[in-house]
Amino acid sequence: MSIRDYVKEDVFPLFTCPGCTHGTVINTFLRAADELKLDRDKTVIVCAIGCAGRTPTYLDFNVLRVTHGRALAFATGVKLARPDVKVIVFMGDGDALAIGGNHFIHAARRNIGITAVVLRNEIYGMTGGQYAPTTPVGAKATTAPYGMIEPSFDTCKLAASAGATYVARGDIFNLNNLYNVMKSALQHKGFALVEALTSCPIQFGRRNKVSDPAKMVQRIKNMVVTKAVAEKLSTEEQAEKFIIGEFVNTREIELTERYAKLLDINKKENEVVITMS
Amino acid sequence: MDNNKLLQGNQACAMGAIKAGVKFCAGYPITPSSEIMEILAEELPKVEGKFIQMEDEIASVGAIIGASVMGVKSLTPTSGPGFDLKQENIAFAAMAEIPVVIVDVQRSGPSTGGATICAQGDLMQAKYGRSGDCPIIALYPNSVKEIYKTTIRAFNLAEKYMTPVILLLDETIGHMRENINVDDYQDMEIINRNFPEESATDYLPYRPDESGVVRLVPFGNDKGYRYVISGMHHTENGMPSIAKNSIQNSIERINGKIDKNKEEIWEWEEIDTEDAETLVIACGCVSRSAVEAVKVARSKGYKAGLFRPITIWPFLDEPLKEALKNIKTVIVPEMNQGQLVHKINELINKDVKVVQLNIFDGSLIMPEQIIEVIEEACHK
Amino acid sequence: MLNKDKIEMRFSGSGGQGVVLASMIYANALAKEGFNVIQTQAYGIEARGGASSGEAIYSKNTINHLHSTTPDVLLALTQVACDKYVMDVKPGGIVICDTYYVDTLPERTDITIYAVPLTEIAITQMGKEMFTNTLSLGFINGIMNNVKPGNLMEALVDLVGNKSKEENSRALSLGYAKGQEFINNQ
Repeated sequence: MSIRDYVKEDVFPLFTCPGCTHGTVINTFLRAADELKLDRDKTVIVCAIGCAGRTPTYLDFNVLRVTHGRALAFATGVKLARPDVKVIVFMGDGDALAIGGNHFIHAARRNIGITAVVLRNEIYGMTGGQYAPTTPVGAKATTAPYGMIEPSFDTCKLAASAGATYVARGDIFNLNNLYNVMKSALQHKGFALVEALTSCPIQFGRRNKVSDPAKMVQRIKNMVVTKAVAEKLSTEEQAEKFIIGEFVNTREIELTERYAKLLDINKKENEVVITMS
Repeated sequence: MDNNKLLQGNQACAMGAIKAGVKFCAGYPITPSSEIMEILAEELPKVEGKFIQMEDEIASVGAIIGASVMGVKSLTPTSGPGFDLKQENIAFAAMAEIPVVIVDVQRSGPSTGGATICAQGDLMQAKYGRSGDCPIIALYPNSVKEIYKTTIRAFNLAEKYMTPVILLLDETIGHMRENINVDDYQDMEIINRNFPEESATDYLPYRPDESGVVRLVPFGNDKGYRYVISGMHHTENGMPSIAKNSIQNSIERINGKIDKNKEEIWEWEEIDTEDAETLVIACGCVSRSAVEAVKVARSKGYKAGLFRPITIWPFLDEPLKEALKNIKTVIVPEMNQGQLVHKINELINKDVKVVQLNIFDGSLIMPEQIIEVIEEACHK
Repeated sequence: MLNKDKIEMRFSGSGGQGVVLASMIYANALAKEGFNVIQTQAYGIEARGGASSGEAIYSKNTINHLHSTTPDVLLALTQVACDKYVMDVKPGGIVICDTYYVDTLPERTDITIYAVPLTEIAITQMGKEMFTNTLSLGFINGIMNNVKPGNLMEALVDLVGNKSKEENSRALSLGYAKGQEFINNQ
């Protein structure tokens, strides 16, 4: 098997805009999947609406593409029904944090064995450039023509405080880091979150004087710092940056493991013991 | 016959679900439906099934669709405002052709309305609550016994036609206790999902068979069937497509498979309709009063009959037309502002008089109230 | 006693007195006797204060009157419940008033009124007020004799389990004997 076997090239071309870097995240995921020899038949990918939601339909897995924001809710049913199957969820930032915010924190709280990848491009791309809960203050969007005035979500802090047992951030410039955290997340037992910073030159860039795709990548390169570098920065300087790397990696009992125990106890209680007299 | 056990309507629904082979339930607390998920939370682990209380109703339908995609029979119970929230993913199940059962124990609305107040306000929502031309099957039993067997039937229809099925109950029948012997239904047919004959390489998940129904192999299978399930318009391979023909085809097909098979989906009851001149048309709790009313009216010499839809959607057009042949007056008692009556008006000749009896103050329409209308209508 | 095709019983009191549970137990016992039974109850705020009630309707025939609007039998464990429901009772019907809480007995002359200090008996002879509902069940059966005492006890165990089984059994017997005493003295 090669990495190309994970992609349905017969349904190409991709729908994504020129300069979009969502594909880079998918590429990194596939390299990790290939390295881990993910069984295509025993893996279910759940995704929803928006650019990040549509991209996985080109992958040769069983793909469940659902309603906007609800991917984690559907994935919860998938995982509970078949705990032996690997469940991976791809979401956009609006998908995961706005309309799907409730499902996001509860999936993390339950520590259900799902690998969740949030592609943070800071904008609603598919619908035409409206602001997201991740759009930086001051940035322009079609619904923020005078600049964004709302603060953003820190996806990693949100997931960690909600109970996710693996939390990491990567970006489309520092690909080694993205590859490493993606691989760790896929191997993690429990709810694993990877936030991947991506660039949207068409919907975000054009409105914010960075329509050149290369400059958008450069922008992300300048936005991120590693944990080691971040430690040397002041709190104010840190606030300006996105720290990349692993933030949480703990082993707690996963939800379907808890359920298996419950079923086990139940089985024993219902067992009829026949004693010979 | 051992008929000496009492079960609550909601309890009968939960037990019927277990009998149908349900192994997964996701729900969110809401009166008057909560008993269903409380019982399933207790009973499912005993049959190696699972229950999860989700963060909201939207997530509950999402989760049961997820489980059904894996081949597991799944159910979510709800009521009133919870039914509003569930519409989004019911539409997904209809579009993506995933069998699930949604139980709506109707209560008084709109909005919070009255949690324990009986009403029949969701008949139209069951059919028209979602955007687009969204197909649905909706069933509405009227007794504890019928709740048990109709719950099983709801799953049979969902699996057979790969579609969501709404089981409508109401507060009165959901909460009341009545005699039932579940052993009477032990031989009921249980329908499970059909699988395709073709191999994974030839497989097109959304290519229908002659009856218009698709065969979706559960995800996570070890036979190499891999495909996309999507709520977007899609082609036969499941890939999103907004090509004109795939849009037209898919809308026609998901609706057509129900229309084509409606005679099998239809279920209704007729009492004293052969020579009836006055026809009472009622469903759910109100139909129980209507049965009594027709009996009393007959004893008083009125040529009254009852037509009781058990299948609400697809609507019983032809059977009702047949029953209406010699009818002079139709009486439609409903615990809403008049919903069933819309469908009846569509089918009726101009010379037939339609009398509505709409009580929506929460009190059950009683037999005496219907008898009064029958008498009044017959004397005019 | 009440020789009719269909009999409607209403169990009323205030929230916490266990009248809904009482109606469920009696309904279950009636089902065990082979009757068709409908059991319903008032839900919501009503069940948590004010007058609370549960109903059991039974007949040898199919029942399609799902709610009892005019009960044949009314148990009233409080004055509020008594005042609220007594006018609903069918002429010729039966009202059982717990005189521990019902000070003013109904003035209707077309019904039979049993005035009995159920709560007081529960307190003095069972040591706990909470047995009033069980005692009432026994009392009603004592005057109506519509279920076998064994079935009533079985129905009770079906619903509440084996907890306080002996005490419940004693409360049923006590109530039953009291009911019989009333009937024999008539």
